[in-house]
Amino acid sequence: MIKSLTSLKYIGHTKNLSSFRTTKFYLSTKKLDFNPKICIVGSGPAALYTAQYLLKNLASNNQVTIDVFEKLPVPFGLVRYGVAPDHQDVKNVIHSFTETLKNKNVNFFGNVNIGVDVKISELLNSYNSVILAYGSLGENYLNIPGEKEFSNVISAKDIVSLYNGLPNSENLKLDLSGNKAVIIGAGNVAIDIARILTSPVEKLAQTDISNVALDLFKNKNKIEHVSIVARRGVLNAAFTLKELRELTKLDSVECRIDLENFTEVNIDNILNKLARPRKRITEFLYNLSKNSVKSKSKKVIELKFLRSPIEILGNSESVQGVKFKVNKYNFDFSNLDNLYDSEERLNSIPVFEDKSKPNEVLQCDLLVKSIGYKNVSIDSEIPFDKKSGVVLNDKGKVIGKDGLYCTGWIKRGPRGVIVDTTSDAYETAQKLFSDLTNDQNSTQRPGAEKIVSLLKERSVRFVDKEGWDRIDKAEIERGKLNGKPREKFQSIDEMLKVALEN
Amino acid sequence: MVFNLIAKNIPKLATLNTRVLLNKNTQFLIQNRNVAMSKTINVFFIDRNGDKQKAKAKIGTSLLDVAIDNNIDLEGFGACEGTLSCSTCHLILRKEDYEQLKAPNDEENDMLDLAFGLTPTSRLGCQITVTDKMDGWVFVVPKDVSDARG
Repeated sequence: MIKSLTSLKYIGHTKNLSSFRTTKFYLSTKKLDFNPKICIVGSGPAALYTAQYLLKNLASNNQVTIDVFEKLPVPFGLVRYGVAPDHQDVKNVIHSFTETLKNKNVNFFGNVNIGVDVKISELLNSYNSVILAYGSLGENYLNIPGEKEFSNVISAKDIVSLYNGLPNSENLKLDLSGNKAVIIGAGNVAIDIARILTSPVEKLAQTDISNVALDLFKNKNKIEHVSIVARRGVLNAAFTLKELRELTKLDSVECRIDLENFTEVNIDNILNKLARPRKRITEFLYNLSKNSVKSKSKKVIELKFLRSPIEILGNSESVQGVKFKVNKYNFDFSNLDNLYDSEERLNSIPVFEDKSKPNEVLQCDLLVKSIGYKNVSIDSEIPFDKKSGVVLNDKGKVIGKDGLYCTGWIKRGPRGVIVDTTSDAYETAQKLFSDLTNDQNSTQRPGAEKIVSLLKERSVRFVDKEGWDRIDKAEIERGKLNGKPREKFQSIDEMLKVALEN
Repeated sequence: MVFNLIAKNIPKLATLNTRVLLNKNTQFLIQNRNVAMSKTINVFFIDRNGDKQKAKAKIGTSLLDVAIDNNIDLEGFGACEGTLSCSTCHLILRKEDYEQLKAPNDEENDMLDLAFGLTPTSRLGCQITVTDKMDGWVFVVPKDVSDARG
């Protein structure tokens, strides 16, 4: 009975599932002759899933301490400041992370900027293991003429920060008084922004959207037409079907894709050769292209593929449009074999400029660049590889730095949904644990005791978990006044005031 | 969305392990919880180590509820708390069991598409409501979450 279930046939993500490993899922819980002190830089999903694994597997036999350092006074990273406010369900994972933070073996140090307030070398001297989980702080650029010249050319990251109330995001000069927006890039962030720009404001008002953003959307948003434009073709759409389906179900918006996006792709021939997730999303897009009703009463979100921006156009006031070159797949789709059931193979299909087509200009009053986050190093001690954009590592152990580990986006690049961080977290926790138990030279370390004295010496005010709890409660109270699940504090000063009141 | 609004306006149904269990099928669950709270059957989870764990399953609850009620130790399981916004409660069913259930809807399939180790008999635990006929059923927790990026 059980046997029949372990010889399973996989139908999605086959690239990842070449074999079942025989290793036990949990880590052995060997007793160490010292109390391991571990710290994590960052407090988002990568950090807290790793903390969960470590707690489960180290804490049963050892007096382990896990100290979580966060640059902001408040935890949870992109769950709090990245996940869109109208996706409160996704933010439910905060409940489990809160349990983790409340664990007696876990400490929180908010408002501590590692690399500036405390150096990585100081952490390495004070802890048995240091885990980098600070995510992707930077962003990609288009590097085309006009990108920095005109106002209202805005990065998606800044809009996401604005509607999520990230401190200092409120100064963004975002003008929504025009009719048309173009979003370059077709990932879930692009979809989030298109949806938020066109959602009924009453719906947004029930979320934990920032007051600054809500005011902007309520009173100054005239956007009625959004184009989401991708460089590659319809087979390489980066968004997930859940987010796309949500767009097509909005009452206020009509989501369109033109049938011409499928002219090169022999749709009937290829559908059955794709892995299930890609097949379903492609089929959905194809049906959408055939079904979209051209209604005049609604706002429009339009998906366009095979367009690369080559120049941003504008006048002294603002952006006015984007010039695109038209691309084509350079591929014989009748030759698509069953090997194309992997995303890697699909993404290896080359896309070239179609020289037979003239450049196209899309007029717009707002241009949003949603072309991805980018990793950066926060300390010159970290062996960060600029070329691949990740910290060089072997299964999560940073190469050339004993005691240093990494997990999440800084380990594998800024891609994927929250659940993808769990596998990373497990791998890194496993590596860390095996190093810790096999290293004869591991000894007792001072941990937070040393770091707290450094912070005091340097006059860095930090927020502990009781302080975060005060901020959390205060935000929820503030939310009640406005019928929102939470009203985040917009400024770090306000947060510190509430957290450090005693 | 409508379901969400309904769910959010309903008083807390039950607090188990400090989680508030809200489900897209909340109304359905309330009814069933009221009429059949006492009746339970046995189901089995095969955890990521391959170990089989027996669990008491209340009729009318979801398999996510069952895992939580029985303290089945499944890391990261049920991150969105049954709101169809993640795929962490991914379970694999026996073919003969799978075929007895109504096919998953589009929204569940969308989330399953993002799950690791997707199989033709995969389901999300939060979307399976326990019924009498499930006595003795076996649900496998995919272990590949650990080596998904191999």
